[in-house]
Amino acid sequence: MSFKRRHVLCLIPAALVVSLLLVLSPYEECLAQNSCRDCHKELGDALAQPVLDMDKGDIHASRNLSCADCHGGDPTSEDAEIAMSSKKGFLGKPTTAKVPEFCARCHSNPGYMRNYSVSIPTDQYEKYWGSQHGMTLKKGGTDVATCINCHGVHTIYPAKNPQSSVWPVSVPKTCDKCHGNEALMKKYGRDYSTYKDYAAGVHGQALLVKKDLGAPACNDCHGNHGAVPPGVDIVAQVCRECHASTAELFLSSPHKAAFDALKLPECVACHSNHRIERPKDQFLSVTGEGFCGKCHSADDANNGYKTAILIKAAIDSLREQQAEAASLIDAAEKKGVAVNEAKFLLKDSQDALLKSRDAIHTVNLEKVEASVKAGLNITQKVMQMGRQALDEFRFRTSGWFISTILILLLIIGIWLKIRQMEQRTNSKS
Amino acid sequence: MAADTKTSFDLKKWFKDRYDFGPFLDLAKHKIVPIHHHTIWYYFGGITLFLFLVQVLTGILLLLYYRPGADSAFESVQFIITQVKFGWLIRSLHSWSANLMVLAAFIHMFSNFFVQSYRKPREFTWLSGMLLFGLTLGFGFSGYLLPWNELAFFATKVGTDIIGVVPVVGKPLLIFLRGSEDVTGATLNRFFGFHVALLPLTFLGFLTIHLLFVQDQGMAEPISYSKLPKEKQRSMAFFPNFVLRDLIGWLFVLIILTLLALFFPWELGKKADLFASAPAGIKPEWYFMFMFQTLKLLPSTLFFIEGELLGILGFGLGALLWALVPFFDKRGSENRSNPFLRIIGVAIVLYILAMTVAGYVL
Repeated sequence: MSFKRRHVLCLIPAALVVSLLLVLSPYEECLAQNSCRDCHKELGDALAQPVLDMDKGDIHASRNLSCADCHGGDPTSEDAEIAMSSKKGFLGKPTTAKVPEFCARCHSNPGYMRNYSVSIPTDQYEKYWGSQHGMTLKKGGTDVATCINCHGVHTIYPAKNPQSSVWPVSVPKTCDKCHGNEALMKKYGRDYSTYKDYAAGVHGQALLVKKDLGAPACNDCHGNHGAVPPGVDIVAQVCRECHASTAELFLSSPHKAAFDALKLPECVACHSNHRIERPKDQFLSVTGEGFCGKCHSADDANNGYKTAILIKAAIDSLREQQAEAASLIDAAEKKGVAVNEAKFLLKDSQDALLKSRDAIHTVNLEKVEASVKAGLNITQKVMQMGRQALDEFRFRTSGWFISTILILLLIIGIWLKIRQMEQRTNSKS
Repeated sequence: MAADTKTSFDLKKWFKDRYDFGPFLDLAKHKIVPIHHHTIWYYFGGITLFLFLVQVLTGILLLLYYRPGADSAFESVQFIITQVKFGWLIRSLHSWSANLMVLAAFIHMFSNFFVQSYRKPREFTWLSGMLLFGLTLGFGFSGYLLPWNELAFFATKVGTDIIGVVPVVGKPLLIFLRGSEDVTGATLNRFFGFHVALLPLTFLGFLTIHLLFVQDQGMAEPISYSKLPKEKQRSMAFFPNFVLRDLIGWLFVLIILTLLALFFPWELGKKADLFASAPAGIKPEWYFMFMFQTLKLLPSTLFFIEGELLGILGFGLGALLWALVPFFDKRGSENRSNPFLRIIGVAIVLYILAMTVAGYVL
């Protein structure tokens, strides 16, 4: 091998090392070669904002997608005219109407998206045009939500990231940006107090206050990309998604046919939609805040009024007895008597009350009473255990008093003995 | 009458024929206890002993049902307090008497420090007492884990972590105590072994030595008392006068103990979960609180040394100096009071109290 050839061969590993270093060079260094970033950073203010936003952990930037991947152009050119020329495919900032299409170039392409995640959905674009937002946009309404209104623009986080605007706990606030806008909602004839109502309701309390991610956000009932307000005919279907067993009971009840005839929106008719109050036994009342009295009156031919009163009485009896049992157990526990078993049983009794409350959706007195009876049997056992625990405490206390008196008598006896001994010793000395 | 004398059984003689307890009885009869302003402190040694006896008795009863092991310890304690007749009482008495024993031992130790009872010739009594105090804390630390509840689990984790910080021996000691890198069922088994075998055996040995010293050398006299003329030195016989007074003290402690056990039964809490995150506000037993709080307040580094390590070394050195105080107190060995040491003692007591309160309040 000639000297020259040997030198050329030596260059191969050197070239490999340089290539490897280039491949492994940090993302920041790669970005530094991006003329979009360089110029926009230098321009400052609003023009620099997209670059600054992307550096906050944007999903696209973190996957090495650059400005040009969305906006087109030539980031290798230092000349703004060339870099941002239409010849180089520069698209610029899309109009509101063009945003869905802009994002869909990649997000509707399963083959391309598979490079990033095999499970990522690619039907958002299609769904969007079926949504109220998409339909309005199609009609020329440009003040409706497009992709960027919910997901953000240059700082987009994956939906599973708690920082994301579409993280379940953040969804209600994200929707409220538009749906809480009085002027905008009035324009479309929509209610603008939805967030306030939702936040005050059980679902809002669970999600926003308790941070229970199992609780539904707006999109769980309305859909997200295909968001539409559920109509009277399908609203119960939405509730059934989670409240399946209650729905079964309702469907088997005589209320189903009656509600259909009256065109009442099933669950919503009693529980409302966004401001869903925590159910109370008082709801069963035929007077005051009770729901039953709103449709049923004392002269009902179908006995509904009387049945409502009896169902409420049955539920009340179980609840009251359970409260008494709980207070007995609590009193015994505060006195230091171990009541673990009774507490376990009390939970069973609480479950029975829940089942009974659920059974009222059958509006069948016999079924409710059967469920209540099962609960009462358990509650009676708990009460008995509570009373026994309190008896045990009384036994312990009296035992302590008796033994203390005996010990005190013994102390007095010993003390008298000491005095006697010492008096005797003193008199001797 | 003569026939009666012949037939009556003489128990004293029966014993004397077999073993002569005379010297012991003579020792008890001739031993006297000085009477002065500080006589009250003499009773705390006896109270500590009484509480130890309660510990032994209730501990043996608990052993009848307690089953060590990560899958059985908690359940067995739960069984004891809910199903076993008077099990709740025995368990509560054991826990309360353990805490009262540590308190009594603290009082006993500090009272002897302040009246300089450790001075010549009682240096060994002080040293054996120090060892007994250390073993008492060991009993507390090992026993705390045995119910295998959440608080005990995390407190043991934190406590053993602290031991692990000690240079050179820390890590091997931590592994030895835990039985592995982490607190697991193996730790529980080890602590059980320490608590019911190793510690009691060692404790009994030192207790015997301690009591023999006290009985042989008699009660230490305060310096002011020893300087009184003989005719002004009041005293009482150890047996039966002092012993009966001691008994009254024991009975009062028994009333307090049963009162606490009945109205403030020791809680069992939740079962330890090895995979759960530590609940907020994990605290050690009250008698370790001043050390724990000090370590918490120390900065992460101090004089180029890790703050926690410095704290541990500081406490170690402090305990060593405390144990060797009879050899430092030259004034004490000359039967003179030592105001400097008294000030230090008061400062230590105030420090322990302040840090303990801070540990619960802050």
